[in-house]
Amino acid sequence: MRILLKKRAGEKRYQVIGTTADIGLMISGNSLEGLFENAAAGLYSLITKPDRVRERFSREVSVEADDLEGLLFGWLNKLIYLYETEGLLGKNFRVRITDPLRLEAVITGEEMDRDRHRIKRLLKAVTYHQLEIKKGNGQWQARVILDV
Amino acid sequence: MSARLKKIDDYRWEIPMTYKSGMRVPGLIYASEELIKEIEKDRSFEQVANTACLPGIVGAAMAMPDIHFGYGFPIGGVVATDAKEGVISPGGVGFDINCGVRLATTHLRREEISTKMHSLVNTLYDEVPTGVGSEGILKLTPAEERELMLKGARWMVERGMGDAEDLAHTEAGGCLMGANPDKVSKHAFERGKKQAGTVGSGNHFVEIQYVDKIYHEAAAKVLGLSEGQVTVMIHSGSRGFGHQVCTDYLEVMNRAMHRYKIELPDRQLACAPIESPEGQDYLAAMCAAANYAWANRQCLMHLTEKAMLKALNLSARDLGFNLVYDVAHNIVKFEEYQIGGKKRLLAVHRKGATRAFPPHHPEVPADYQEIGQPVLIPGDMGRYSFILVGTPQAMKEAFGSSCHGAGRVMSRTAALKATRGRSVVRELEQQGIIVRGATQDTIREEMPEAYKDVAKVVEVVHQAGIASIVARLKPLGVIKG
Repeated sequence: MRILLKKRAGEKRYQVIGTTADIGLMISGNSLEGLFENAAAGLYSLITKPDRVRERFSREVSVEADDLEGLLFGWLNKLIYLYETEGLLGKNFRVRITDPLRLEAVITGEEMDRDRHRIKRLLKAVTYHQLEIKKGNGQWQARVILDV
Repeated sequence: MSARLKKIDDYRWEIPMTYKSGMRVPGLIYASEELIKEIEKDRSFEQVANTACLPGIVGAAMAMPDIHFGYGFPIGGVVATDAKEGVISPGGVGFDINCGVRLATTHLRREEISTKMHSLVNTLYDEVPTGVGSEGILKLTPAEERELMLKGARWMVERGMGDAEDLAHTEAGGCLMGANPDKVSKHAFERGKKQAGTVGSGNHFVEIQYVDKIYHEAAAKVLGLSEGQVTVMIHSGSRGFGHQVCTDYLEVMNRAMHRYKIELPDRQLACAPIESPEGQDYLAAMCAAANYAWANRQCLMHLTEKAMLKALNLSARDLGFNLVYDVAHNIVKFEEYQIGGKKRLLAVHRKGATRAFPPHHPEVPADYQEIGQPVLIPGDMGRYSFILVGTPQAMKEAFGSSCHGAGRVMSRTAALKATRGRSVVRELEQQGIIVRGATQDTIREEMPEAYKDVAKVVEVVHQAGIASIVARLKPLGVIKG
């Protein structure tokens, strides 16, 4: 796992994009699970600087949906929910996607600490706007817009 | 001007039904020549055309001059559907259900506080929770949260936060009947339990202002406004509670669309027939969220008043804090209109649009009957905001609606790029506006240049006759999440 992470360190896993009113992410991944893990990392990067977040505890979550886009929608909305209700900031993610569409993940991170974590912005929700997942040239890519 | 838009007059533009297959009514955009160019640039007219495809839509798919590209529905959109035959759509309300604005007046004059703004803003920041990394002062039990969903602003008044007169000066009395907490998910309950009485982030704020100019003397007198007077404007909504309700019901509606054989150009227009179980459930949850927002703003107003009393060391009598009005600008309401000579009940979706009822309408407060309903239009934090009143023309042609704000012209990412190396806080301070925000990037994203000039927006609704300008307000101090 560590070697994989080191290899991933040089890759651009996500990029921040914007619409007139909101903010979004273009995400890539070598695998579908990797895509979902990078989407989570991208989401938290919109909230706070990733290098300030420590791995203090783990949290298991599961999400079900009717299609891949719905699964991404549900996964990211779950992270917003956990941030708002438990102050959870995720640092590392291990995602497993099974068939039919069910996601199980382990999030490692910590509770938000006002002294160490400067919050960039609050996220209201994930939207379906321009939500897209596709695969091409062996790479998975996704776009998602979030309401700020 | 492109062939997609037909100019009706200087302030009205039509998207013909022939523009896109599936359109059931034309689109109608209120805009000036200048604003329409920006609307074409960000293609928000495309979204207006998409909303014209909604089953049961009546009249026209409308857009106000502050329109900008949203998700599904444009922000600044008004869509009225038949209450029996039409659909209801969470996207036509928005994630922030009952995001809205309230305005209060005080006995203070600008000169009395202009040298005290730093201390006033700091006290506001300490006493009025923004909800960023901090909880509100209220931690609701599930039973309290249920009660709040049913009572709205009155729940706060019953706990000594404001008084009964405030409810008379709040749209819908600060409470929509029809709320049902059983239709609200556990997730929404969880998000809402510690957020009542918090401002939120993004474009939300509590702002201390002064009346800069009076345009309509008679209406200003009725509203208790005079030049130089200090006012307070609060912009906030239903917080995570409402966001979760919208999220939950978007999924419900997405699944329901197939069952009702509804096909639309955009997934975010997900909807269900109003009379369907899904439609009724969403309505009940939406009412609960709308009530949460009214309770939220009532609490924020109370906390703001307390903070001002503390910072300025005044008695309540000397401060003279008084609620002028509170409006919702993300909501769906059931209202009656004359359509083709017949009275019809319609579900009016306003997403980034404000109700603008005329004089003598039964829903206008008794003391405002002669002038019409106040319409509160916040601008960006560097320029100005406006108060208008509703007109008979709005009822006749715009489903009693008007604009809601300035509307963005620049994306958040572009605003961050444009402000690299700049201190927006310092720039505003140099203009005499003290700003304090709880999140790092928000103030930069919310910089004045990211928004349209709201004066140009209100000029359109004024000239189109759907609302009448009463006064202009300028910012002195702002707190943001």
